[in-house]
Amino acid sequence: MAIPCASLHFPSSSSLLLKASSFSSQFPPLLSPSHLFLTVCSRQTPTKSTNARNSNYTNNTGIAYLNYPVVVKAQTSSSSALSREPMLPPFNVLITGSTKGIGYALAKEFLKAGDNVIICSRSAERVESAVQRLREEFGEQRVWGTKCDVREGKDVKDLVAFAQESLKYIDIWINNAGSNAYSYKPLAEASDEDLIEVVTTNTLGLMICCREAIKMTLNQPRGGHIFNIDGAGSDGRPTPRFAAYGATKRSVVHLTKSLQAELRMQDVQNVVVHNLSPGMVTTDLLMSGATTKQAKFFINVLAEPAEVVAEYLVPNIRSIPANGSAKPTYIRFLTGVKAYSQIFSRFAFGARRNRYLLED
Amino acid sequence: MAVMITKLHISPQNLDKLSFEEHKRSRSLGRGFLSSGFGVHKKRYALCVQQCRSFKTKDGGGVEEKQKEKYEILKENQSKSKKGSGFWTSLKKTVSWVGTLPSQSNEEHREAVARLEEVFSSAALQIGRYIVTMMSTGVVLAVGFQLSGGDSQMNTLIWYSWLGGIIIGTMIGANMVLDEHCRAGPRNVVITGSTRGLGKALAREFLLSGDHVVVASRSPESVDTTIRELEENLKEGMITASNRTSLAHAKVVGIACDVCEPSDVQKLANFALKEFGSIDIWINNAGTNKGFRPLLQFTDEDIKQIVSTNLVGSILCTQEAMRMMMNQPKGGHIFNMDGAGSGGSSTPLTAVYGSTKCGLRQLQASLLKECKRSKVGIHTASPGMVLTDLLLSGSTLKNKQMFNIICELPETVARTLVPRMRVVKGTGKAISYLTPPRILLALVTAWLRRGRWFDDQGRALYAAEADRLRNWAENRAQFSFTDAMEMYTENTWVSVFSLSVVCAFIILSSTSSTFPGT
Repeated sequence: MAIPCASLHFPSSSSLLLKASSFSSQFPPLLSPSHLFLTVCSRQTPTKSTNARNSNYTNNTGIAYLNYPVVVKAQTSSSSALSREPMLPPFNVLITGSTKGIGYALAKEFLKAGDNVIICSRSAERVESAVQRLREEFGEQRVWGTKCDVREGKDVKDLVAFAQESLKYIDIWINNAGSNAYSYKPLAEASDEDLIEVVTTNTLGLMICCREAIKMTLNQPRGGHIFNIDGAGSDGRPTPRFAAYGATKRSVVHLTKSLQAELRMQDVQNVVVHNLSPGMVTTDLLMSGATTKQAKFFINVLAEPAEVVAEYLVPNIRSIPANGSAKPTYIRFLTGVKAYSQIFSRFAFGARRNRYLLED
Repeated sequence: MAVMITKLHISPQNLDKLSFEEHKRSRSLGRGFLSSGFGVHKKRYALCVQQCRSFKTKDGGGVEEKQKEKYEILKENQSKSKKGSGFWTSLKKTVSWVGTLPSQSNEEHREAVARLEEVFSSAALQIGRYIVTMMSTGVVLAVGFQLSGGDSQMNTLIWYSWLGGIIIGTMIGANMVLDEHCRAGPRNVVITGSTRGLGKALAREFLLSGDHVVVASRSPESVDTTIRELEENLKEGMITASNRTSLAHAKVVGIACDVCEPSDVQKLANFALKEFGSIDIWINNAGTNKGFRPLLQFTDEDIKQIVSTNLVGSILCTQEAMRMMMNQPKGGHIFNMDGAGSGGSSTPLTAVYGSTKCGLRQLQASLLKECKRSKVGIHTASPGMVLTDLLLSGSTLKNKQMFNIICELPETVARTLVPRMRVVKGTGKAISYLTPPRILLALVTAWLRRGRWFDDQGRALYAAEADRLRNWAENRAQFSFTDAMEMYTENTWVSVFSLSVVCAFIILSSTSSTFPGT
């Protein structure tokens, strides 16, 4: 079963693509938005899966793939494991810490785009319920979930095994798991447990995940893209009241940079590490710190709900493997220009006042 | 008079190291002439340099008594000698005064006399210096008169500028000296991860500056051996060093502490508090790196250890130190050690280490904001590249050739860092060994440095630690000019600036006087 399944997952021979693009042009109604939410079983019915793909991303993209130098070898031979293959949608996406907040929103958005998603989190119940919810909306064979504490090397290895078992390969690995222990206090007042939790989750967890992700995607014919999510402080600017969090996020960006250099040194072409900046997202992590006037102001002016951010980020993330580019990128939702213009419009027109929180 | 006051403050420090004084005297003499009107200031400059090498002792009531006594004698002497009336009468007087002490014995008396002799010679030195300074300003004044060509208006101007220069110089000098005086005495220093490498060198250097040092490391055995070794060093130091009494109260204690265990860190802080009463300087030196290789080849345990030692450890230690220092009337200073990657440049093959160090730099920025209004100073110290296990663990032959140029022995680095750490003020200072002039020097002399630490085959050429220390203790007593220059650059700039202001004033006024029509 495993072998045919795998071959179904690589609809990259030119004939199949031709068929696919013609297929979708034969069924224009499929392009309508209502069909975006088609519950399809991509792994079992090849035609449907190509349908879903093309319905989402118009046949323009389908034709574009025809120009792509296609090097496909039969999946049955193990010797082909190291030969390169173009990365084609639907992608297999793994998101850590994805039972709530931005991780959950990203997972949902990827599912909407027709990809397959693995979610995970520290708590088994939360994973269970999240998988339940997503399956209700998107179908049984699109989303999988497992418990994984990113701080434990064994858990992460199990996660990789789980991903290999359920999806065979991962195209996009997003290291989203992050914590601030939901406390905003000066360092001298923070508790030891909180600090250790923050640092181990954000830094140690990320490093272990990165290592496992690189290890896994390095041996995949399609390669892989790894995204690390940054946060406040990653540009090196001070983050009083959550110093430990800022320090860990700064180290995330640096780790990405170092890994990019390392992969370049090793001449690795098929694995790319990127940074991903969601900006300020109105999740629990941020909102728990909305206690001062300044924090409320900035949250109202700059923050966006997770869904909005995910809507922007996911197409951007998906365009990277779709273009076949191997260049490291830094995708930012909240760019400097955007932030300043929002602050300006707040001061000039009073826009976004009391948007999420009551200011006084 | 201001000059006199400052002198009184200085003198106790001069007691114990006359050889030092001589050395510097000749220097300040030469400088006095060079730096025209600001001999006064320059003099202070020289004094303070020497001051941070050895502070006067202040430990326990008995010592303080002695100190006070010294002061009394000194003040008396100074005031007498200033008036110029009976230098020798004052000697007699003080000797008899000492003689009236209750626990009087022959030996004690002799000792007191010897001490007095020292006091007098240092006082004479001060006066000599004062005269030299005044003479040098006199020379400048004379030159000024020569230039003005007898114009009475110009002469008044020159007098005023001279007076202004003296006042500014005195004020700057007095400020510096008073400041030093207030913060003199042995520091209580906690250094984590101080049983090897740079930490140990720092501990030794602090100890030999007369401070109280707490060493801490994961293993109790290595703490014990380090304490023994450092005590040995201290004994040797007391024999060879010229400033013996300043070392009398130096003390080293230690405790096993795993910096990533909150309870251990708390224990360390309490231990230091119990032993010494307060903590003035806390150095987060503990750091680790498990070799140079791609991230894929690091095991879970490796990554965990690096992250927990470098990042968790530093955060926990900083937190504990901050809590402690906020409750101390004098506050304190916390130093975090920089490393490769702090600046934000990528560190392939040490991705984990680099990113933890990069995170620490950001932490520093956040803490600066958080501690803005408290008495706790948060600083960074960057040792540059130091020949320790951490660096050498994964070095290749090619690396070693590079190390020849830019690397230094831990003792050399500690010797530069420690005096600056001791006198650090305020918050947010960065104390680094590899300053731009040093880098430039290293690059210029790169050719000469080819075989400094490693030969062509990558074999180490430098001596083992014990041998190194022996040589090092000998030349320790020597005065390092470059260190002194670097330590007080800020104040030198102030003096140069004020001097140039005065010069500009003179020049401007002289040009205006040549065009009487305007």
